Amino acid sequence: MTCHEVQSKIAQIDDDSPAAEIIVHARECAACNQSLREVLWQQKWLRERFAEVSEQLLAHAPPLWGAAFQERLKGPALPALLLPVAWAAVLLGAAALGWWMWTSSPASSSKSSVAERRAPRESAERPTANANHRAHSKPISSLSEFESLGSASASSWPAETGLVLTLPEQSAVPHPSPELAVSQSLSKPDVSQSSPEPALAEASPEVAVSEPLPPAKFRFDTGVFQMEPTALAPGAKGYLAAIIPKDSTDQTTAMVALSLTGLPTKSVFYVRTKDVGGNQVSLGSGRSDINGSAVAVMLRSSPTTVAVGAPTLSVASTEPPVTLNFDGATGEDLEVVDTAGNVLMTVGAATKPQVLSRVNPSPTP
Amino acid sequence: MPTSDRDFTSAMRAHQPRLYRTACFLTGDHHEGEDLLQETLLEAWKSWNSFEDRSSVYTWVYRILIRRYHRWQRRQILRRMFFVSTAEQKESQTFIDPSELPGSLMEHAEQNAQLWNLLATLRPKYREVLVLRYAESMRLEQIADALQVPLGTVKSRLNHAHAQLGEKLKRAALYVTSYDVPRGPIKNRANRR
Repeated sequence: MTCHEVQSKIAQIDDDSPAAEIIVHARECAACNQSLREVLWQQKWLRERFAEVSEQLLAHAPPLWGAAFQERLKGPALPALLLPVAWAAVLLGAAALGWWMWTSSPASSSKSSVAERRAPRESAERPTANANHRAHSKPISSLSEFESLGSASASSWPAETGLVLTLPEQSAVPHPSPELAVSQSLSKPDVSQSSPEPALAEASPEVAVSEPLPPAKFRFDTGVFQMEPTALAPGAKGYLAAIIPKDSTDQTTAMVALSLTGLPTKSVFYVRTKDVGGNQVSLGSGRSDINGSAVAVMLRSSPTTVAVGAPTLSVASTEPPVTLNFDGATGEDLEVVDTAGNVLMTVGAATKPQVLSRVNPSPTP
Repeated sequence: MPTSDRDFTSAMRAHQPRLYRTACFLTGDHHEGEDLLQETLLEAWKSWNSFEDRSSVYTWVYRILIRRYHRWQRRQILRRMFFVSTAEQKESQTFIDPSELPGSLMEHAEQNAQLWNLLATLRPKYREVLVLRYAESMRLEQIADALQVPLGTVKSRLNHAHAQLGEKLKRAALYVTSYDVPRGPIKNRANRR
């Protein structure tokens, strides 16, 4: 028997009695003798150690039927057949609770309110055709950026078609030159042709005179006016700056600018007023920044004619009519509202610090 | 076929201490061993009606114990992966403190503790054959039945376990080189003569 065979058999020794040929070979071969000794010693050591530790473990063995095991032996409280029913009842209860919470919340009390909130929000996110047209027709960097911030065209405010420029920071308010605004408005004659409102205002200015208007608290005029907060935005502050041309000879760009602070952060707001018929019209929209501040600039250019009691402006006959933000708007009850229609700020008659002296009207051509 | 609760109780009462010992050896912890024993007895009780006399109760319940042990191992792996830090892993691998051993065993307390540590370092498939072989003194056929593996696999695992254990014992300098080969009655010597 060779050493290799003996070594393999030594490795398979399973008790203290190795085969005779292994012992005979191990007495003659030192290496095999050492391997045999190691294997036998290891097995003996293992038996002794396991025996000693087993004694200790058996001495500390727990009682067979302990209280915990007895409890587990009793099994679940419900029979196995009732478990699916119990789970179904739990799920139904959770669903009913969720439905009750959903239906009882004020946000979902009526579908109309949801639709009303969703409509201006969607319209604020959707750029209008005018904005796209302007973006393509006038690649001026500053104005393009402002236009990309979006304009609003809510379905509930049919007169809202105009340009609205919003700025995230008050310090970064650009004041576009009248020339730019004029070129902007003159570059889109097709849009104005589809709008009947300027023609209506031009054809019958006396209608606005003959019809009795409700007492107006505020009307568009050149000056700076302080905005008053409402209970919904008690910390809101701001000013309204308006440049309204006085007559048809004044070529100044009509402008209404709002500089507001204290609004809800990152929220869309709308500026609305009333037209000569007393209907609510929207001048435009804006979005407050992370600090609740916003600047909205609404422009109108081209020669204007002031209607009596209202800045409903019409274009000169030599130029194509344009659609304006505040065509027909009187500035009466000018308000800043949120997307849900809640009034955040107003311009009241009693708080109209008109600062005509500080305004430098644009020069007439 | 024993089906009554009384039969089950009497059968388990006879095997429970050894089951507990094996569970402690396999898990390396008293509490884990108790939990493993409880799970084993619970599963045995649930499937007691399906027990058939094709094998002994002893082998059958050890098969359940090994199955539950494998399941416990998988839980341990997941627990260590997600919940236990490395330091806690090392701590959990430390087996019984030698100071816990009774006074009569204190002379070998260090070596007994060394046994726990060596078992903890072995792979589970080697650990379980060693435990069943030396703690339960099972024959190789019984081990194969309990583990539900072929007999050759048991022999192979046992050889690997011996080899790994021998290496670790050498590193720990626990070998007694003066061990003498027994000169007493030698197997097959009478047959050859």
